Amino acid sequence: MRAQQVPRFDVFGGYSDRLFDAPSIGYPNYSNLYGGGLAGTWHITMKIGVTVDTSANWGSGLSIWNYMAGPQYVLRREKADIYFQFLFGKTQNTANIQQLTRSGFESVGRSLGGGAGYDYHWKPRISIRVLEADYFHTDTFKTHQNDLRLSTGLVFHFGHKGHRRKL
Amino acid sequence: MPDKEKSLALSLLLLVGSIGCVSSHTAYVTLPTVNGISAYRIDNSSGRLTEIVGSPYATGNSPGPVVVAPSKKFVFVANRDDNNISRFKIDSTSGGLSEILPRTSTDFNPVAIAINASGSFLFVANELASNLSVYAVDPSTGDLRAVSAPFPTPQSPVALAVTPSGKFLYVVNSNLGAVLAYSVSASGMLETIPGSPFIAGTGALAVAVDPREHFVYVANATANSVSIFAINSISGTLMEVPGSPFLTGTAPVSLTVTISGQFLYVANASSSNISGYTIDPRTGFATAITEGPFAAGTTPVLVVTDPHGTYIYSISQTTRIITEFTLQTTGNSALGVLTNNEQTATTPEPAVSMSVTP
Repeated sequence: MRAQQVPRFDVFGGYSDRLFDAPSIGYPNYSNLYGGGLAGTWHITMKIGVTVDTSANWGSGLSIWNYMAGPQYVLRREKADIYFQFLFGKTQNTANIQQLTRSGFESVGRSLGGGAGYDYHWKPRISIRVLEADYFHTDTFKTHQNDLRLSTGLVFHFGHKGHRRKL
Repeated sequence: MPDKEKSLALSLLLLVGSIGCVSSHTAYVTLPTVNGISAYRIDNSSGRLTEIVGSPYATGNSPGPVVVAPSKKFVFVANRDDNNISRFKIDSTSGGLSEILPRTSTDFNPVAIAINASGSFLFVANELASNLSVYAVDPSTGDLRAVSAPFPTPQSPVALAVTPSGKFLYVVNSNLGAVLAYSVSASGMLETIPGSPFIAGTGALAVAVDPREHFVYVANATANSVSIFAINSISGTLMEVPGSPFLTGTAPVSLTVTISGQFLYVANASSSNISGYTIDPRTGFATAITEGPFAAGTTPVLVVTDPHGTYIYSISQTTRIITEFTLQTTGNSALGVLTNNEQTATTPEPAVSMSVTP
């Protein structure tokens, strides 16, 4: 695929860092949870797509699994794409505080969020996701959390949707 | 990547590393009707109470008195119906609790518990057995080992307090309306102090020791008064201070002295308020704070000083509310005044005891 082509599908894989709103569940400070994510985007038009996003982050006796989907809007440039997305789905939060009959506490709840990202076109079929930043509002453990997730990694392009405009 | 975008990415990463660093400590509250212990995080600056995830944690049957070890590693809870002590490890990150088995046996009906300032000995009053258990605490595991067979007391010991030096133990006996005084040896053995028991008032129910080890305070629930005794620093004998007993509200059932030793607060269960007193550091004379008594919800059964010095808590069993007061210690306002700072927390079931991490 030549660099100026627009793919039909993208698959992202990479590292993510989630700033978890741990004070909402009694922890002293926000917790940095490290992990990774996978996402797939189907570009319905040149600018509009649908993305499915999963990520897992853990650390400090906490872990978070995220399963979300939503629309994505892409601003296409010759060397890069800038995109904006809205996501909704479920979050599963786990706090590993050992009990006599269980290994910890788990809660699954609604998750809403959104963010933006910047993909730099590295090779015809591969882009570098320089940074994606997302905000999430989740409802778990009978309270609310406001989290920030940063992601970086590689985006693999499949198919051919059309040609991007030359600027 | 252009420089502008590099700096944006760097800024976001720095933001991730810097958000939300606040100082806080934790508190633990026992809930006998659900056989559990709730944990709360207290924001040092705002006083906000946040329940810690997983709370309440399971205890034995009818958990009553609770105490946090000075090391902040362990919490000990006496299970009154099981006649034993649950030992919990405090999760260093979350402040949540994980019980460590086995539980340690006590005698019948452990109703009061105290730990010395070094965390080396745990003292338990067994009301129905009419004796005191003393345990050596392993500093690394929190394991409890009885130092000897329980020490017999007159009938119905209901409350106890150990002095900051760990040299003396004072036990309230409600039947006698008196304070039993013991010296504590280096090995944890108790020896009755000559002159003990020291008469307080009818219905003596609660005891507290001045952090400077000058005075002992006893709440007399039936007499509606508080008795104040001066401690002989050498022998541990008590002498009631001039003016004692001092009048309180109706049914004083709990009391606490601030970490400065300057103020004394008494929870009056029937009059639903807290009496406050300024303590003369030389004589022990208690002068009622004129702005008091302070409203404390319905039937306050417990009043506790936060070791961090800023807050006083009261617990209402009927409304299941922990009320937090800010203690006025500086400035132009009247000292010792308690201001309800609206940072209340609701316990899932009625609470009976509370301990705050040092």
